[in-house]
Amino acid sequence: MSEPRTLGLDVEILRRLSSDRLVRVLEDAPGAKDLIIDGDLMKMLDRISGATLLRSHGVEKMYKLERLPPPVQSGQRVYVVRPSLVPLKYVADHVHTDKLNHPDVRVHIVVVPRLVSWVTALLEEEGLYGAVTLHEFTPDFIPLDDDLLSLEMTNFFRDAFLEGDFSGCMSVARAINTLQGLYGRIPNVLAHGRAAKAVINALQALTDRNSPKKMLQTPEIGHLFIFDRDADYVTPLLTQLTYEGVIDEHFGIKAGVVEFPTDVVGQDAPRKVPLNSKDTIYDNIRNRHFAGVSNYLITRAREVKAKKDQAQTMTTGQMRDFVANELRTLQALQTTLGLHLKACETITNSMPRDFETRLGTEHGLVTGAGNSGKARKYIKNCIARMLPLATNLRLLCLLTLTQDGITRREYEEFSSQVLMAHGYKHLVTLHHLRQLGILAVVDSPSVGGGGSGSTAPLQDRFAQVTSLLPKKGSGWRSAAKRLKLIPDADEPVDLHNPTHLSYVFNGAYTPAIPKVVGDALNGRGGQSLLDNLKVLPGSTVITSPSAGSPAGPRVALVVVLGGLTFAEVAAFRLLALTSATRIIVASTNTTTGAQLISSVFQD
Amino acid sequence: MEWGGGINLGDFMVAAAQYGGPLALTRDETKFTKTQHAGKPLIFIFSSSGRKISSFKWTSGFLLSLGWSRSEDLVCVQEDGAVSIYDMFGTYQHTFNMGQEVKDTHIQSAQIFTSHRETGVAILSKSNRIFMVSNIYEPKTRKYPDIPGGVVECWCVVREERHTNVLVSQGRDLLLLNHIEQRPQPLYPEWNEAGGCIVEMAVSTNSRHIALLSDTGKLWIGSSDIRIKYCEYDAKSQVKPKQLAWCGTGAVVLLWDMTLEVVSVNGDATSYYLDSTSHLVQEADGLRVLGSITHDVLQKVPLVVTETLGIGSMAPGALLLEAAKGFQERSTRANDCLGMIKDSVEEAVNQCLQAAQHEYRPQAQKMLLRAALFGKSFIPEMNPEPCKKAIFTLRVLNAVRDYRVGLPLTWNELEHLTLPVLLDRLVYRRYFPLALQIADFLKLPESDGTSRILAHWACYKVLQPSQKSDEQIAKEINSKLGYTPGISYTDIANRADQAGRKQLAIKLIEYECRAKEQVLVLMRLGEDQTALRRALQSGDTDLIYTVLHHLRQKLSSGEFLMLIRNFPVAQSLHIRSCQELDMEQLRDILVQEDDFHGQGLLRIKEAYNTYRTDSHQASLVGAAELFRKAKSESACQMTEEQIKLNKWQMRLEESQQKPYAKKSLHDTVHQLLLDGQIKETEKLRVEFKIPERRYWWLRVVAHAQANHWEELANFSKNKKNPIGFEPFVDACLKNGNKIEAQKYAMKVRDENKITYLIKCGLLEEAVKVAQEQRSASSLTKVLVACGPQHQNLQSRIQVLLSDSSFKN
Repeated sequence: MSEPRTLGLDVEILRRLSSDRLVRVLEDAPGAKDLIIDGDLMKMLDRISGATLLRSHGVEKMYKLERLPPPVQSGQRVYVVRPSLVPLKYVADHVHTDKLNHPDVRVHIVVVPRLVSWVTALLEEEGLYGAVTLHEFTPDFIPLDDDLLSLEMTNFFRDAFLEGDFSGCMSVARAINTLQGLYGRIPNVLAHGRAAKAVINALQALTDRNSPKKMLQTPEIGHLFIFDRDADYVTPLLTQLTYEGVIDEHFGIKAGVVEFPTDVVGQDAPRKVPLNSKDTIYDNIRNRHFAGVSNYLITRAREVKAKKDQAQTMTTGQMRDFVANELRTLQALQTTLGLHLKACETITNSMPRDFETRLGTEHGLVTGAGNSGKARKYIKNCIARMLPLATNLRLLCLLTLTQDGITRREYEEFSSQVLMAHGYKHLVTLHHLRQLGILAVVDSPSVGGGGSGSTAPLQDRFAQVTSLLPKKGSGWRSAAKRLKLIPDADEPVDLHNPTHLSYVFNGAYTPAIPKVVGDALNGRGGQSLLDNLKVLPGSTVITSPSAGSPAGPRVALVVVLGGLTFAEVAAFRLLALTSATRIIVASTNTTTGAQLISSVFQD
Repeated sequence: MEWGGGINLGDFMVAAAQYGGPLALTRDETKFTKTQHAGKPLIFIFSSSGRKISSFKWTSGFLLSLGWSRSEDLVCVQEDGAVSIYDMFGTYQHTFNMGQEVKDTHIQSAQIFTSHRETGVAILSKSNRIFMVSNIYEPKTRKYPDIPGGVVECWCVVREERHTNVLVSQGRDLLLLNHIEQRPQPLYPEWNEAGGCIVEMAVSTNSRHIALLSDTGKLWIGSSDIRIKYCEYDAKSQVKPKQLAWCGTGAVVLLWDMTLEVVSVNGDATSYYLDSTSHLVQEADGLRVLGSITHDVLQKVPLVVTETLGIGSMAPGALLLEAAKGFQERSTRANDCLGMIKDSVEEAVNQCLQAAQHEYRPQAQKMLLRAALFGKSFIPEMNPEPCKKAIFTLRVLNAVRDYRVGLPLTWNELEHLTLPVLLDRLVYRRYFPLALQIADFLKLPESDGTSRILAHWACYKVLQPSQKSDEQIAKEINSKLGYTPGISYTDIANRADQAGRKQLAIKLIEYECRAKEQVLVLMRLGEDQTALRRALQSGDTDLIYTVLHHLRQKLSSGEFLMLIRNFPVAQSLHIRSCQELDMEQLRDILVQEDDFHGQGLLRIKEAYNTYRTDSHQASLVGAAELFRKAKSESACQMTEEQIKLNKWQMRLEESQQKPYAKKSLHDTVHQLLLDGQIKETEKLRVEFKIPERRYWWLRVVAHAQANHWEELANFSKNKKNPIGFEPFVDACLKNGNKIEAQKYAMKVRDENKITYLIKCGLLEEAVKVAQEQRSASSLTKVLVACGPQHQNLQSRIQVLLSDSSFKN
């Protein structure tokens, strides 16, 4: 895994850039201050700058933003919030309360990632304009690892794909522009989807503003790919099988950090563990198929133990050497191995008893080999068993997508069951899923339109904006066929020494985005690829270097808008090896199917 | 002077700006003269070379004093304390007042003074009080300590570092007024013979020196704090001079009608005769004498010039000059002279350069520069920058000193003013081509030079009335300006708009490439649709929101909604913001669109946002109605089911005293089962037609969770089991009751029996079943599940497996 990574291009510099920018914002409020942070931004700020750095810039106490204001201690408080209604209302309440008791406290509000005009308008309405100082903090891509960047914009999916608000694209474009500023203008660009197009447009506007000199620098990144999440909904819907993916689904990885619960760490308090390639054990197992992880860990553990056992027979001199050099690393290794083994065990124990059935159902649906009637029955059982809503909907969506939409009658049946089990308000949730096109129903786009042609006009208008409704006659199955996403069932896939990207899903399905990127990188691009992309929603933008200029090195930046699963990250890592390309994967956030679906819940 | 001989300065009140700035003239009301114009006086503004820039009619009250600010604005002080500011084209800028007291008592005299940064106004009211505004652009009136009654002979303003003092001569006393002391401080200049009162005083431009003139004609020259006396000079004239002024810092000049007397700080004096009534303008390094026909600069000849050009001077500079001349004449003198300055060529070059800088005639400048370059050629390593600078700057100075431009600046003044400011002044005077040429010539960076000048030109251009159409003007401006960085079409468009040329502004703003600026201006111009369109093109959501916000405030709700209907992206964004901020507005949109289904969904959201049961129910009823209208039967039906469920839940809450509201049907059933309310659940099952399978699942899960094992056992005896016994086993195991689970394991359907028996740990039975089924694969399964404690069983299975009658 290490070979392509050693090539130049230190992405860590991005973290420093963001950190410097954050410091600059903090220094706008010189002196001692308390920091009150929107819960959604905590992990990100953590990642950008540690507590020591914050303290050295006057931060005394840090609180999570909640309904009630924390006690006033310093003369200044700095709120760090997203431009979103609830946190802003909280801040407004805080300021009003504090004004009564502590009229001298100065309040700063830092809006992340962009100080939009309606925030100002809202604060004005709350009577706070002038009483608070407003700042803006735009983070760049945060390097979660040296090949994985994230903007930690957890709301992007809902904002862009459901609500048709593409403001986030501006932030993405800015982040890409920063990268271009550092590593030169990327000559080859392939972007697909509406949001991707918006990013390209914004990027264009930004590069026009850049000084031309900077852009003449020899590019260090050769290829830029931008995709919308809606290019491939099937991948997030499938249960992830790589170790990293499984960890994310079970414990949740936020900004590259997992919080292992007490039963994994074997202590009283949960422990936060950063997951990245610095941890050599983790680096080796993260992309492995989950089935092979424990074995690997056990083998390694035995090795370590053997090494330690050797110590028993050592002479005193050897012993001294051993203690001085190796012991510490061995012990650290042992701790890590223990932790991951325990994590594996916890996961295996908590896997639903019918995990195999579920997996079989999923893969049967995707390959088309399974019995869809059986799958339907299984889903109904799941609903009856009151499994979590996101789990049920995930499977239901997968069913509808792979069947190229279910009939209205079926939809009504399913929806009535879902509502009975999980509450009536989820009628809106279902509606949202249909708007996204992730829950596919053949028939007119209006829910329960009664077939009399009374389509809701607003829905159509929405569709124009988000363009996510499945196009007629170009269902998922034909798309999968065009892009060759379903591997040949006769060729077994080696799960433990993978050569084919589909290993991340037991060889049942190849994630579409890595597949397309792979095709393009391996010179199978060109017109046929463009034709193939037509089956995915949205349109394609392509830029090639002008004749004569260098085509750029084999380094690719892949940006996925609206969330990236670790299964895809694993596929990209494999692709990097097989295509001898350094691939840096970037996204608005890392996600799982459950997160994707819960993000559009009616709450 | 370009104004010809027709103007006798004696008849006018004259004010001239420093740094060779413009002149303002107006008829002196205190003198009797023949005038063509009756009534309100005219104020004329001329360039330093007497070229008329503008004139305007003074329409306010009695004009007491005129002066110029640092930024070349004309300051006019009225008798009632109103101070008006005009630019040099006679355009009114603003007015401020010296305060109520001044307004009531009126002004006796006023002085306009400038310091490094600011321009101030000080006045002496008729009630003998001094008021001051130290910066006319941020007027704040300050009062000075009271002066005792009696006639004030004369007074002046002395600026010190931070504060401003006032010297007042009253009778035989000289008083110092400042902020620190409550009362005036008497000062006692050291006169040779006491007696006589001071009738005139003058402060040097740098505020360090002062000259006092007594009624006996004695002139006292000393430091401005009166402590040091430089000299005393007897002017031998009882007649009060017209003006007393400093020439730089080295001499004081007294001006009578036709005579000029120059007194140096050492007490030496010279007189000049003038050919017309004149006016003195004090400069930092000299003095300008304005006459009706001529305009002279009076300056102490700088030492370096004397040294270099003085006859018989042996300074290196002079010798170098001589050498250069000799060289041109091909005379050996060149070699001789050079030989004399062998060791000080560099000094000589510098002297020549400096001398050239202080020369005014291009001829002399050229001669000196040539000499300098000649000298420089002997020192190859000498820094060429000073030479270059001198040559370039002198060209610029000569250009602006031209009478057509009329900016008589000295080298030192330009150094002080800096080139960008000079360019500004040229631009301000609308000498755009000259400014452009200078900028090009000096190769100034575009943002400082060319593009800035062009932007100013464009702003000026839009103000000029023209025959051309707005379209043409906009094009013309664009063709000149292009898209040079640093040029803001926004500024130009704003200027056009201010001048009332809205259409031109709209045309101009089209060239703006920064979307944000463009949209903001378009909105201000009222071009809302275009603004919205541009904002949409930019793809900048925030900008779109800004326009939408603006439109919402401007238009009625209906108009607004109709307008954004034509812009789907804008509409979707608006809907999004409504969802967060304004549900009512969202409903308006949906109503307008006849989107009943959407309205129904909105109702549901409302229903779940309220905590009140009655409004929750009401919203749902509304939603059902809307779904019916939208012909979404299924949604309507589901809503009605929910309404029904709500009623049930309310009833249950009353009878059970437990919260059921907002629980789903399943959760309700589940809760009831946990509480052992099987009768109620039966009712619900019938009422809501819960399918058998699901009902069974619910019961199994709930009974197991509540540890109602007996209930579960009873339930399992029901013959019509649609789900099999697998869920029973799973549920028992999940709740940690292996014994109960084992009860059901045997009842599991055959194909799953082995798996479930293993799950329950009934390995023996599993083997039995496998034997019955004669399945080798099942046996293997059991074998895998065997632990170390099942040695016997393992061997048994091994034996069985060796029996070939088992199928795989």
